[in-house]
Amino acid sequence: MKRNSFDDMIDSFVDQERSLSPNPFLATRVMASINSQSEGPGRYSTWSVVAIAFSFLAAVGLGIKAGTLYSPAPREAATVVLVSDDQAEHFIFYQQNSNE
Amino acid sequence: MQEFELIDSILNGNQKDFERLVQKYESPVFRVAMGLVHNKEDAEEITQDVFLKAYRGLPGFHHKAQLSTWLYRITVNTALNFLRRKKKNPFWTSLSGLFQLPSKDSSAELRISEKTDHEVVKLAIDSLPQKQRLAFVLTRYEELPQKQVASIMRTSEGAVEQLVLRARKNLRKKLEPAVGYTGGRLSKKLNSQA
Repeated sequence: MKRNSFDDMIDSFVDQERSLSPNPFLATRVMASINSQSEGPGRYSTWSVVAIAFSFLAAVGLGIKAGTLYSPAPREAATVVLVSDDQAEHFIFYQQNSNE
Repeated sequence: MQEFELIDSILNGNQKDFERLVQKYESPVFRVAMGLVHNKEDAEEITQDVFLKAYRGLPGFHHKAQLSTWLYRITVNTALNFLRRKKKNPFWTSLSGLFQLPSKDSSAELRISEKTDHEVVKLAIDSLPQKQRLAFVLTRYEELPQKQVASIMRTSEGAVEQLVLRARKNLRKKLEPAVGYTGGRLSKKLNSQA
């Protein structure tokens, strides 16, 4: 198809997109979403801010509580086992075929 | 009913008046969204989102600008955020293209040619710098006066005039090779620029 001019191409495209209209039930859909989310204008955001602030404070409070509950395990005196290795078998013993 | 009376009534909890406001402005908001995203379903989603944001933000509207200007500003921001999100997740965009059925109509060839034309213009508009694109969409799709476009874009009228002129010049430069030419090579080239 031969194109007439640059303006025709743009006009045709813009007119085609401008000719579309939204779903006739869009307003109903918007009102349904509003009713399902909040009771009045602006209230949703206020409650969400309060909820976020409360959960943040709760997390900080729980963290402090968990920190104060911690008590380290009592230390025991270290026990040292002294093993004398002067009687240990010599490794060369296993390398001799006659002893296998 | 005056605009401020309508807003006061909505703030006092009259949801019927908000529905009236949605019905009054849904088409202009939808057209601007359409000019930015070029897809009916996406434009409807953005329109719905715009009115939800407007409802929540209405207590913060202090009549410093016209209500329509305020709504256009929300529309532009919502559409640009939508495009940013879409750019980050190109998988779903390419997947939805797979399910478009081919036409069985006898005039399909003509429509394919027109579709190619429109695809080329769409890519050219989308490849414009963001401010030029906004100025072009607001003046061509909504035919808004430069003063209002300047208020929406928070710039001067002179700047809007320059942006529209530059957008036109850029579109001409991008579309000149396409006049009298039908094919996929140009759209591929524009696609890579977008």
